[in-house]
Amino acid sequence: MPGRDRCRGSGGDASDMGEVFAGRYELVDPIGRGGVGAVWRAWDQRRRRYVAAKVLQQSDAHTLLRFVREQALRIDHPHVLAPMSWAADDDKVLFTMEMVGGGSLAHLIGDYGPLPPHFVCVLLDQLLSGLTAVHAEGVVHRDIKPANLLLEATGTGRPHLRLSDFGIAMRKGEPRLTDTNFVMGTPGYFAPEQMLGEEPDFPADLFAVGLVALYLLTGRKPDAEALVERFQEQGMPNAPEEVPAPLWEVISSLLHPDPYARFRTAAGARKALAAAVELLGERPADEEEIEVFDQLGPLPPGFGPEGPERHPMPPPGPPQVPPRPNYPPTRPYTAPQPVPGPCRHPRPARPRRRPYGPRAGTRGRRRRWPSPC
Amino acid sequence: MDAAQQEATARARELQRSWYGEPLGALFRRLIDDLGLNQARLASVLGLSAPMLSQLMSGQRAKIGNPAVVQRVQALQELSSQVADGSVSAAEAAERMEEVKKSSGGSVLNSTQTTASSGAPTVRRVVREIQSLLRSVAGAGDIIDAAGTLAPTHPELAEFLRVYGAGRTAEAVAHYEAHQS
Repeated sequence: MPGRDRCRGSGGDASDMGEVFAGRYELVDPIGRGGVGAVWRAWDQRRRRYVAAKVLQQSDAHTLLRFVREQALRIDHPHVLAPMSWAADDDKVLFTMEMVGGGSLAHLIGDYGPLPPHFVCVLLDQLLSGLTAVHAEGVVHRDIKPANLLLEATGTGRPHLRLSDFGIAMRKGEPRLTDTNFVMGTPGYFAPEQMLGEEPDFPADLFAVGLVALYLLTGRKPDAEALVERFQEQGMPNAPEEVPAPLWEVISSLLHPDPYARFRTAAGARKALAAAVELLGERPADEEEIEVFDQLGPLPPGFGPEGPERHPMPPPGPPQVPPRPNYPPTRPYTAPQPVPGPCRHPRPARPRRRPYGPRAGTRGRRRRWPSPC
Repeated sequence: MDAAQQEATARARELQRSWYGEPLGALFRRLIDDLGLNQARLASVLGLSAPMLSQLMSGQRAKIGNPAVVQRVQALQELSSQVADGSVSAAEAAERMEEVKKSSGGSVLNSTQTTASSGAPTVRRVVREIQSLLRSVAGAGDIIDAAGTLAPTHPELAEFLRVYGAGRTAEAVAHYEAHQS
């Protein structure tokens, strides 16, 4: 139970590097930034492995907390990246996820521009299969967009997409916590009915899949509003230049402004996509090779594949007491040095150490011993 | 590096020279120097990932796949030459780089507009400045009058006044581009 780890630490901005969150997760380096929080590579001291850790202010974490408690364990799918666990520490909450190293679809478009239709179809198929699993649990994702679609670092092999960021996901039919007038999601990826404040439903996610498809094939961010307007005024727009006709059949049906005229299920859209792929024809021989790079970069100094090199595992035995002079633990332990220079007032003698962990009534907070200088 | 790889790299650099004027390693290093960047920052302004930038620079990959990135490279080249000749200050350059970073290919549906607007954000900017300067001196009606007066003797000047003082921006951009050497 990660919730029991509540003790001290921190998390959030660059100054937190190297700190241990909730006595368990050592923040290694920032690897991304979501809408509301930072994502870190973190070393899980208990499980002895690297994880991705999203650190949120508690006030931003309610939806995700509820999602983790209610859903995450049930959605175990190769194309879904749901948080595994969480830990709270002061006013922050940390969610852990598997590390996924290949960046997002936004990176891929940045590097390659429009992607070849066959490649896009593989990605869409995986997205729809992950979304089928999410919808099967009654969850509407509500924030499907390129930056939330991560990739494993598969190099020139078959890509492997993971649907991530359930930060504003909800159960269908559940009362919304936020004001109904306040539309949640990312501008540019709203379904028209979402804009009108309707109850979240699965077809809204499918509309966003249609926009992602268009973005991948054209390399440009689609203008959802203009698209809907055009659709309503003149019926189905013609296929953009880069979109093969059979694929446009599927995508334009995902993009239908009327949610009842859209595909109703991710599984249905996926089936139609599979049929469209059959009509695409052979992959051209001169097609540029898409390589999904490892975007994580090397571990910073002091960290190896087996975790932090500077903190050897304490030998098993009686519980170790943390060294007080380096508290909170922002740097590796070094023996206390006499204070040089102008400081003429040494710190007062430290009190006897307490056992590690929160004391009743303090909720894990500890006072730092003030230096008179 | 074995011989085959070396050969592939040399070929990639040759292709880069023909497409972009010089190998991207040299081109990007000059941008880094002139604009006071590092590789990570250059990658972020161009909208490329760090591994892709490094592959392009080392010649492991020849082509910049994303046309929007090619446009940003051109915009940065223009900016770096302006910084080099002193016509743009460092602070202004930083601001312009933010604009370059945000510039994108435009919307999918309006493909006719896309080419015009995504073509060169800096050209648009220059044109807008000329337009606003002219319009701060005189109203559109006066400018059209003046253009009419000039037309018989100085048709090019009249055209210039009409296009920048009273025409649409797209027209002015076209005029500007046609008269750029």
